[in-house]
Amino acid sequence: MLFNSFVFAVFLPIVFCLYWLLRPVGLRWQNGVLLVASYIFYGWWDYRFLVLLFITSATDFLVGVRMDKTESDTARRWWLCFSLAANLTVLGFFKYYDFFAGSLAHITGWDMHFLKVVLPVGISFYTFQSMSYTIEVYRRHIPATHDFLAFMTFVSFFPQLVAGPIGRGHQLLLQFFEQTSFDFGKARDGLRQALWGLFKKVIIADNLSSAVDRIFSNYASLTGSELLLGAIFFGIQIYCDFSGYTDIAIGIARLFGVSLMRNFDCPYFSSNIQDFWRRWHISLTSWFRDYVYISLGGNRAGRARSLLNIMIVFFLSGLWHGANWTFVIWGLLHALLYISYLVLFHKESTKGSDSTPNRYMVLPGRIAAVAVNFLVVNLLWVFFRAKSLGHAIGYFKSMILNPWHLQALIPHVGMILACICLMGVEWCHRNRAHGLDISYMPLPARWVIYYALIGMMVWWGNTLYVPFIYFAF
Amino acid sequence: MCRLSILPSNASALAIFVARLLLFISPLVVVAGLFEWQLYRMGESISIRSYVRRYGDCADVPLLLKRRYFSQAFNLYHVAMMKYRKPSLVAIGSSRMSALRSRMFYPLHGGFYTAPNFIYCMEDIEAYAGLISSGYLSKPRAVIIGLDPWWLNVCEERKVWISRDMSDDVYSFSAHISVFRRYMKGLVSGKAVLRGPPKEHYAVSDMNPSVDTPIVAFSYTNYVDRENPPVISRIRSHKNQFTGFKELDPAKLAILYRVIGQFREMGVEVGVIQPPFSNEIVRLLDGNPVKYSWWKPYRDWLPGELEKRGIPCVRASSPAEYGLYDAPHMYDGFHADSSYMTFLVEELIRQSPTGSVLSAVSLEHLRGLRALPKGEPAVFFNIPGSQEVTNAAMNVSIQ
Repeated sequence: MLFNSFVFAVFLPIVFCLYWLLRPVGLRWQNGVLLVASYIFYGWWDYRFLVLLFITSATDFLVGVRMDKTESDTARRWWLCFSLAANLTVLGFFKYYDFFAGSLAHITGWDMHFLKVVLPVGISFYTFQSMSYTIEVYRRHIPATHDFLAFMTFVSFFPQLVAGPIGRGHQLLLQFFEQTSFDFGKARDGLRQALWGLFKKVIIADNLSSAVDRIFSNYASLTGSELLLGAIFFGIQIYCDFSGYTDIAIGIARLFGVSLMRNFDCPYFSSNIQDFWRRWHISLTSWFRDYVYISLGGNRAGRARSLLNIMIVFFLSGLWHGANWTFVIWGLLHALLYISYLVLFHKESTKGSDSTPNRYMVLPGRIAAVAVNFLVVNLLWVFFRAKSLGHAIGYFKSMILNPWHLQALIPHVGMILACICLMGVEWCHRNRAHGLDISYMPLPARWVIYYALIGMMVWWGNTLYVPFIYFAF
Repeated sequence: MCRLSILPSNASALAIFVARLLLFISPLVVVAGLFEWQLYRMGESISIRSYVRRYGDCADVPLLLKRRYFSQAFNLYHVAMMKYRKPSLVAIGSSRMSALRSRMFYPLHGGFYTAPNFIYCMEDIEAYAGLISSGYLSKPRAVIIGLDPWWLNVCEERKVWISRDMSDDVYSFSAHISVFRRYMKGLVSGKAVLRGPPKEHYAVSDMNPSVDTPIVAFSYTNYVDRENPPVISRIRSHKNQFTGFKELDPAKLAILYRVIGQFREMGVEVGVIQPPFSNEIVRLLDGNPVKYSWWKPYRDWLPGELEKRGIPCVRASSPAEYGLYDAPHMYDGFHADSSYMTFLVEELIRQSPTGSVLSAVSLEHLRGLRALPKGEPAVFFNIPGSQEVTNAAMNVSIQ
């Protein structure tokens, strides 16, 4: 079930009404409604996927309970390993079997058997979410829960089930143990955020997708300027697509009084690569930081080891995105950039607010830094979008060797202006929760803006089905 | 024990929220509702399912849905009709098979169904055969294929559109949005076609003519190639479906033979009609065998190949071969009228082996249905150039 579908427009009000009407009956009933709704939501793609979701939930719930029953660190460690192995086996089988089999066949020439397994939607997201629970229970950050209903609801919560943000036990799970009152302001702002997310997806991302598809399919015959624009367009497309989905997810969750973590914080206004990764897909990068980087030793084992750990995290992050070497290369290139930045600016910590150099950068310097960072990040997106390494290399070759004509950009002026307007709005609201956080405006002005956004979506929205990019992960 | 009372502030906050939301979306609902009502009133958003319910039992079902904005979805329409009617005798092809009428196939007329605008490539025929072999559609006793030449053109690329997963646009939210946009643009430009009184729907009574109702030709006195662009200019300039058409593609011929084999394995009889062209087009094609090198293999060689396989095939003709003129019998360069089609059906029946399903059609009844236009001599002209002499004498001009 897609957020931008008629079925969802009917589904959501029903769930909303049931959820709040059952509030007087008790929290368990409310959680029950969310659980049933989430399974219907997920099963709409393919009912067979529900089995996997249930198995993941049940496994980690039982692991949590077992860990809670024993004080032995060794036993707890074994239970954690069991949870990680189970989750990663499922993920590895469905997502990576054919990829590794194909790579092995290519290297060794062996005749490998391919399974052609269908990738369950959202498997990367909910397995990571479920694993975060067992890791946090193991680390004694949260107690294990004995409420199976609440735990199942935590793993399968439909707004963020298929494309995040990846929730954590200490942040999301605990919300299913507390019954909240309906918060008018929260719900209203949630709807606003969902509308903004829908706008970004339907108007910007989906309309950019046709231009991006055309440019990436015919790169050999296009000008260098168009190819550069194509890379930037894809960068904006993937941002609007993914952050749009996240905004919708966060907005819808707020209708039910549930707070999801922020996943994007104006990443294209970053002035360096470290800042970029603090603002892009925050739930995933913080997951890798907290559960992989720190588990590997973080920066406690020396500089060299710290940099190696960063390399490993980016490698895994690239691999997480998809079963293709282009994603791995993309991750490793980001690792090289990140490490280079740390080495050049002698940055020891991956945490903290803004990096030291930026505080002393004057405005023109900062603008230049943002522009360079934007350009570099969007060029790296070429690896993300390309079908293969050869495709990516061919794209870059054409970008450099083909002639550059500004006239080639004229057909794209409309989309360029739309992207600039979007970035302008995001800049103006960079210190607010989301781009449509206009609670400071009077009611009539707000309603005019809402109707204008809806009118734009009806008039200019791409009516061809364009799947959310991150559904593929 | 459950607390059944809601905290007042919570309930009122929820009520205010819902009320404000309903107030906000009410103008949108009103606009959408008015638009949808107008669509329905104009017959635009009537579903294919409704069409099948209304016309499914008619002798000659409406050959075109009355849609101008939504996709006509002929693939889904014909499959839905065939699922409902379970015909024993089916004619499939492009729009050039739309002039067939059930009463031509008396006494098999009750089980006859023609599906024009259904097939656009060889792969479509294969997909149709697949629906029968899988049991999705009932198995007819005989299939008549209206075989267009460009299905054998290697340069003609068409996507297969027949499958089990076809959908009706009227149930698609995005299709309604597209239609809304086009309608609003039409309103602004003054070209919206959904204004005014409702379109007339087909009267069920008109779809059930008596089995003896004569089949008349068009009442045109001048022949005009009404296609856009005209068929003859497409052929001359090697454009549209004639782009790059030099020979019959062996791969596509292989599909044809394979499908025929599949039908035979299922016990389905096959007959082929090569739909006709206008006199002026056939003259053009016959006069330039090198330039239009696909014509002779298609018209002369292929029927022979099919006949070797025991498949009766009526070769591509022109009205003159039956003593007819373009004006009353050709809507354009390659769409014939029903009275001309009676000649082709007669030819097919004659070629069908004795004891076959098609041989049971009454030729006497078929001939009796023909009502030639006033002034048209009911004799055959075989003299080259006689067409022009007769047309000049009858003040009929060929453009």
